[in-house]
Amino acid sequence: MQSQQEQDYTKKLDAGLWRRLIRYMKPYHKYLYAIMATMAVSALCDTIFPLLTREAIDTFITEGQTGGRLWFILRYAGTLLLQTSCIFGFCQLCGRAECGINRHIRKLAFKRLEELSFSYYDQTPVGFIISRMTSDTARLGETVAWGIVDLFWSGSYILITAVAMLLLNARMALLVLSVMPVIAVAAVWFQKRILASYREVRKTNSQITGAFNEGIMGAKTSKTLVREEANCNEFAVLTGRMRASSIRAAVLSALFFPIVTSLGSIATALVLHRGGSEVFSAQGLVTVGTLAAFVQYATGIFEPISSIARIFADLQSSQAAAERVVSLLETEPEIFDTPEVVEKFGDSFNPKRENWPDIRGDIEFDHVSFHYSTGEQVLDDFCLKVKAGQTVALVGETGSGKSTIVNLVCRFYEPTSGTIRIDGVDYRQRSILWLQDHLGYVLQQPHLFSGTIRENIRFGRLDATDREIEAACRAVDAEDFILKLEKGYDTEVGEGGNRLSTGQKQLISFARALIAKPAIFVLDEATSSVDTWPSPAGPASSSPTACPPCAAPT
Amino acid sequence: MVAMKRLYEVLDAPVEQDTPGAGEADLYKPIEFRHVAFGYDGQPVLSDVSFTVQPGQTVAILGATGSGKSTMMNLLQRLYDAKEGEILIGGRDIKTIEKKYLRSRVGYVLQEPFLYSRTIRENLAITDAHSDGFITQFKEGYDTMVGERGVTLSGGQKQRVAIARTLLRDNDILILDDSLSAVDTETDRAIRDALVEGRGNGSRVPTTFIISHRLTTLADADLILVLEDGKIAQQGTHEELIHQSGLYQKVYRIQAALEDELNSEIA
Repeated sequence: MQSQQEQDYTKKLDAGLWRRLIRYMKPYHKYLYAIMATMAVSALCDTIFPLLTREAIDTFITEGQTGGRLWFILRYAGTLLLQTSCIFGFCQLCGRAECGINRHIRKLAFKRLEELSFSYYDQTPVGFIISRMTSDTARLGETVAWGIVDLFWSGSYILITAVAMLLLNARMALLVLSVMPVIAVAAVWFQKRILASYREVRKTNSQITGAFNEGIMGAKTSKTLVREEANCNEFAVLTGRMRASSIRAAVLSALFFPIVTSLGSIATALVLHRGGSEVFSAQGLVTVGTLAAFVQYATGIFEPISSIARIFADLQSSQAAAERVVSLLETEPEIFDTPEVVEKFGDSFNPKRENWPDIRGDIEFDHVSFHYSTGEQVLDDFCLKVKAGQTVALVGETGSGKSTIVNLVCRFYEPTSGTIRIDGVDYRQRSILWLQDHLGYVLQQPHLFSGTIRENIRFGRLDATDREIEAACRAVDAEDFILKLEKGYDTEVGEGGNRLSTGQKQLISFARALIAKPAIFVLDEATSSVDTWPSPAGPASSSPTACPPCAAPT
Repeated sequence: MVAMKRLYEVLDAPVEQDTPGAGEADLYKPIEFRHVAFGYDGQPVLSDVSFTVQPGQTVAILGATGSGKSTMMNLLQRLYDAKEGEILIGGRDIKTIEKKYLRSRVGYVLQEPFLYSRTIRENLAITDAHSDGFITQFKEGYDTMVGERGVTLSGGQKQRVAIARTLLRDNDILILDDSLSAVDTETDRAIRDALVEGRGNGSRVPTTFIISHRLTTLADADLILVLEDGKIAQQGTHEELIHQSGLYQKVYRIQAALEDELNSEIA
């Protein structure tokens, strides 16, 4: 279904990438630090318990002492309390961090999507964008928040335990630690393969999202061409691929964890064998309590090792998600305002309207050439001067570049060479929003937002009164059909306006553009599906208030 | 549980079904609309539509925005079924014809065509419909990728690929729903000429329905239907209709006046 290939991302764990991602999570850094601290304390508690057990066995059982029990109980209870509050704390923090990071990354990504230029949408299928915005961001929040929990707890636990063991009995400690490299090797071997399968899963997932999107958008066409079955078959291939790679990943994971557990048991056996013989040897170098502590340490230390391996695998498998999200966040719009322009006129989200110069609407193409990123040359050394108030009609064959010219005027694209001037000034010296705020553009296949007709027209200018809206509709001869609808102006248009006919959508988007009182008005085949015969010269001229320069390709 | 409910909302939505016993039939037969009525959610769109057309003829439909033109064509491909009245092909109610079969024989070029995101060749399979010229202009010709929903093509180019895609099939009936609105008049004529070319040399021309606002596109048709508010206000040939007072005459005068104006300016 999808042609655009998912980029192939690097295979190794890329620390720089995660640092870049974590930089995007700045408002949540304080949570992450707090989680780290909590987890370190929690790991410390976990290491203290075996020591307390050792003390209890050696003092109260082996030596049979009875004094100091209260003090021991207090210390034990205190450690328990500390650990409990740590667990409570990190659960809270982690939940907050996960949800917060999700929302924050989505917000950033959505903002970026709003900023990106036409060319991005020309090249990127909707399905890919949707899977970046939903499943990928969700995955990142989860991996980062819970990954840090596990990483910090496991790291601190291994470190503190290793130190404790070395202090208690260096020889037995080395025995336990000697199994660690074997586990590390096994972990790396498995995780590499698990990761490869996960990558395949995620890649297929975004193709499936794409197929969903195409299936829904193209439903009507598929029916008219009787392609339902072919579409289903193609979809079945995709889901089949997804199932196969998911199962491969699951089987590998299922093999990996028992292997780690077995290796852990071997270490425990070694400790028991070695320590046991020492306990009963003549010298009695190792006390029963120490042995008990060691058994606890030996069984305990392998879980964090496999959980570190799991985190790295998680990080690696989420790396694809991270790369995709970071690549979206770092995609620079091809059309952007220079810092000087932003400084003076503000950006799209914080415009400094007070600095905006008035617009007359003179347009000049000065030796403009343009080609799309695909390399297709559309305009070559094109010159044109339009005075404010003039109407320009663009006539040409299908595909001759009419829409491109108006897209350049609107600064949806910029010339690859040459200059476009508005009111005599290179439009790159003004902000994009300044131009587009003074622009009325009616597309051939207009998009309406779900909501009522009235709301859709008000998108043109938010402070328009109902009266103005109705006047605009009368001006474009849309009122007749609107009033015939059951709820008139308050009729819901459906998602994308699909409850209306193409011609009706065109008229509404026409009214929407008109109400903004634009200085430059562009009609791109805007009335191709509209009967303009009752007012042959077109609606624009029937409202003398709106007499901006029009570009009307035919 | 919530997820399951939501999934069942999709799974349990009624799917398209054929009436039991529906089968295949020769569709190259006279088509008759008999008192057909239709509405969406209680909003009437078409009422009492009746006309007959012979196989191989061209029917042109003219009407204001929202007058029910596209709806009428949707009924013919059974994307919806008529609420009242019946549509007969060769005397047989189309409700008794299998939907899949019907759609495979009725070529329908939608007003807003959807192209699949793959190459032009895959969208078409072969060349036709005067698209060859522009297709070979692309660096990769027929193997040019059409972006998702056809974004790398212009509106008119998309329409031409969509027309070509439909013409490739062996159609008994062909519907062009405002499909030529975004192509220039010259290409419009060339495509229509290509459609009727077969008539002279005896090969079979599908029964064709054309929706358009351009009278030049409509004038040659064997039958012109003028729709107003979901009803057929007038029907006849170009010659008949320009002499009747009504929407057709009005539009004709306006468009002719525009043309005269242009011609006198050129002269």
